[in-house]
Amino acid sequence: MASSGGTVHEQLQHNISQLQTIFTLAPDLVIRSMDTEQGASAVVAYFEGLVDMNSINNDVLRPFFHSIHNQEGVVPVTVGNIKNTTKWSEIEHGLLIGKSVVFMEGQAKAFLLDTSGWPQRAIEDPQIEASIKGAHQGFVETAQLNIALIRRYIPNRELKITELTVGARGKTSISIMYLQDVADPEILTELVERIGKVDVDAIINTGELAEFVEDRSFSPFPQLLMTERPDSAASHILQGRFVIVVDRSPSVLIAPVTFVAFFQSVDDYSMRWSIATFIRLLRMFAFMIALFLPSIYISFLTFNFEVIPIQLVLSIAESREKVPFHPFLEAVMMEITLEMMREAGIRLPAPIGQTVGLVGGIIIGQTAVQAGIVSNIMVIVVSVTAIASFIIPNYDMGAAIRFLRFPMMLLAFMFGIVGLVSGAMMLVSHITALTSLGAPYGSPLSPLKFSDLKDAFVRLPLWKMSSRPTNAMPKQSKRQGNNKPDGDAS
Amino acid sequence: MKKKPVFTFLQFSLLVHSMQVGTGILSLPRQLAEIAGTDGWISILLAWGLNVCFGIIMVLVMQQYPNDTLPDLFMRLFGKVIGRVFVLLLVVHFVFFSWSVLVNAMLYIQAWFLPLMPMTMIMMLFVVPAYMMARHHIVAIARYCEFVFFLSLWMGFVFIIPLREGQFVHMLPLIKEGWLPIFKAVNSTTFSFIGFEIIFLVYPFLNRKELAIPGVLLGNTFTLLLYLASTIVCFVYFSPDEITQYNQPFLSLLKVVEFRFLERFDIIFLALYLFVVSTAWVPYIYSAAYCSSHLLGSSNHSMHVLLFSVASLVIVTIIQPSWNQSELWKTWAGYSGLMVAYTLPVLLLLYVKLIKLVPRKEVHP
Repeated sequence: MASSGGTVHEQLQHNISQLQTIFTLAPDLVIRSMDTEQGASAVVAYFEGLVDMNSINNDVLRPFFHSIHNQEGVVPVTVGNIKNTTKWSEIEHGLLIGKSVVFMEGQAKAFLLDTSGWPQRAIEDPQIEASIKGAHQGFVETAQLNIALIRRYIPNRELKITELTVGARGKTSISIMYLQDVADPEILTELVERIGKVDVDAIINTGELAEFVEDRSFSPFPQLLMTERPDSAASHILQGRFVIVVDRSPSVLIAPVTFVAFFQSVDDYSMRWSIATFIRLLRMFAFMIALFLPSIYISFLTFNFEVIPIQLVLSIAESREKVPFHPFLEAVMMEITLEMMREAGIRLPAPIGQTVGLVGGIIIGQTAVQAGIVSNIMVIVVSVTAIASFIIPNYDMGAAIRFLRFPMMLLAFMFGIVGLVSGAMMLVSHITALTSLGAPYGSPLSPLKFSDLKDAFVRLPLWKMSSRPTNAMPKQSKRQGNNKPDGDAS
Repeated sequence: MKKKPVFTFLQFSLLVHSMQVGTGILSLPRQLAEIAGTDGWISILLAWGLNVCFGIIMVLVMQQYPNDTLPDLFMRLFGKVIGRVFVLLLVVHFVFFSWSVLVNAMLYIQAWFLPLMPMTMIMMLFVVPAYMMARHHIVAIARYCEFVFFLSLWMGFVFIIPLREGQFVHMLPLIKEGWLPIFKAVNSTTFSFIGFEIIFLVYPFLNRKELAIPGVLLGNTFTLLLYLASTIVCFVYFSPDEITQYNQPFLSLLKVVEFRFLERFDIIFLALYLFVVSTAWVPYIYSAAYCSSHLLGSSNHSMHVLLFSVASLVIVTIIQPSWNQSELWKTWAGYSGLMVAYTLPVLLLLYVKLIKLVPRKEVHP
């Protein structure tokens, strides 16, 4: 690191040896010297693998050897992005991020050419946020490409990007994208300040940044929405939110978000609005089921069985007569088995994953009941809960809910329905007080914003959504004009 | 964020409303029937008018110093020393009221759900969520109250179900015993209507101050409608003599409600009603902690909330409160409410008007 200070020397040989002292034990560093026809000599250096070889060969080396004019201070290459520099630190960083550097004899400066072309995945369908009607392009691991994907949706000069760098070693470039005439500048300041405070070696994945930036790290709920869909990122930008693109990570962060945003998907807007509303309500219902159903079952069975009608009590008792465990133990056992199966299914390659599902299905669904370890009804409860928790479109939120189920079950086991209500109170208190970058997380329900309810639990017709949600405190609240189709009313 | 947190007109009125509605509603119909018979509902109307008046007086006081909460105002008007004495009185009132609401709810829950559970454990079920909410700013608490209000709106429709078997003839004749018992019964609504003294603490955070008086009116009206509906349904359903025999006629009423898929609906109802009660104790605990942190000159009240929570757990463990004690405390809380919510605003208004008359120099800066 000590050698990275200082400036570029006029003599070529001096520069080459300086380069070699900076990058010792770096066999992938290529230093190519060239003597052009005019007699002036030059050197191109780059890291093999981080650059696009086509670009080096065709745009740098070829023009060099065939250069006709050789003006003083001009490097004869056909690369778009060229930067002059005299600082070794910049050269070092540039080389490491895939640029190539040209030194010329007799010039005390270097040229950084953007020839970067590292190994890169093709743009594919988003994996965990599949959609039926939405676009089939997901983010990839290159920030420039991700930014371009978003820009394709919003070709507007007000779409601004604030660039930051995080990580002493990783030097991850972080781009905050927003609409300047819509997004709240105070939130931007807050966001830049929080990202600026992060002092780590490197950010490997977006999730790490989220954990450093979020408001309350002890909350089970995700406070920043992570998405791998450019269309969903663009639609949030249009609503006045901020999108944080992290280089080398295939997902971006959206902030500030609300609790209900995790229950929405891009498909909601391309379906008939009544059906989209139905599906959204279904998701909220599934959220309730996933969170509370096992604990309601436990509390009714242990404390408050007088609530259940007598026929149901009898049939439950019948199915439980062989089961030696307390309902709580039974439920925890089943839930944990299910979680293990889910986790195993993720890590295993698809063909084996199916086997896990099959084995789990047969053993748990049938054999465990026949063996008298669990009751039929518990199997139903657990599987309904599991299905409900997978309906939630956002993975992080689904995981949070699956996790919260366990403390709820414990409360139900200890205190019955009162414990459950107490747990629900804690959740409501927590969500009410939670903020995402200082904006209330519970909006539009708490604080109540009637105008924002149009796009929360229901999805009203698009022509109704003439104002942006107030949660992100947008400067321009008007989103669209009167688009109501005349239809057959005219 | 750097901006001063504010809340809306609706949040303000719902905060007032939710602080008033607690466990009082469960036994209110009996208390009224004991004194005024089936004319008790008229007392609620009178009490409403009275409370709105006093609420407006509070707003009038606060209007003089729109950026002060009551402890600030005390310090400004009476200086550090005497001001602190007044704040101490406030702390006592709020602590006592939170305590009596908590104990009352705990006794209900113990009687109805968990007869074998130690009181400390039940108290813990209340205090932990209360701590999680009350340690935040009052604006967040107002949001909580607002949310719970809308979440529990459906409970109002449950009143309609027992009406099928009601006898409206119980209500007649109107004013059988003359007006005197009706006036007397107003007194027993005190515990159920206290709560609007929160105006003293939240007025500075209201975003549109000119709507304070409509807010007080709206909040009290919500309370009025709720009490009126529950009392009338109880009077209509039970016969005038029968009603005084039930301790909590409101809960006995709910036993009638039954669905195909759910027997004992009252159990579920009471458990969920805890949410509504929590919107009373959370702001009370906040108020107590806010005033006591002012008393000690610290700006962070969350430590005081924690202290209150732990102390209430310890005290419950030691005292093991009984129903009789709780009733006694309720009466006392009613008295302290009389002081803070009725006497104090009048005196303050007079004082404030008085010092406005004397030349400006002699007033504290």
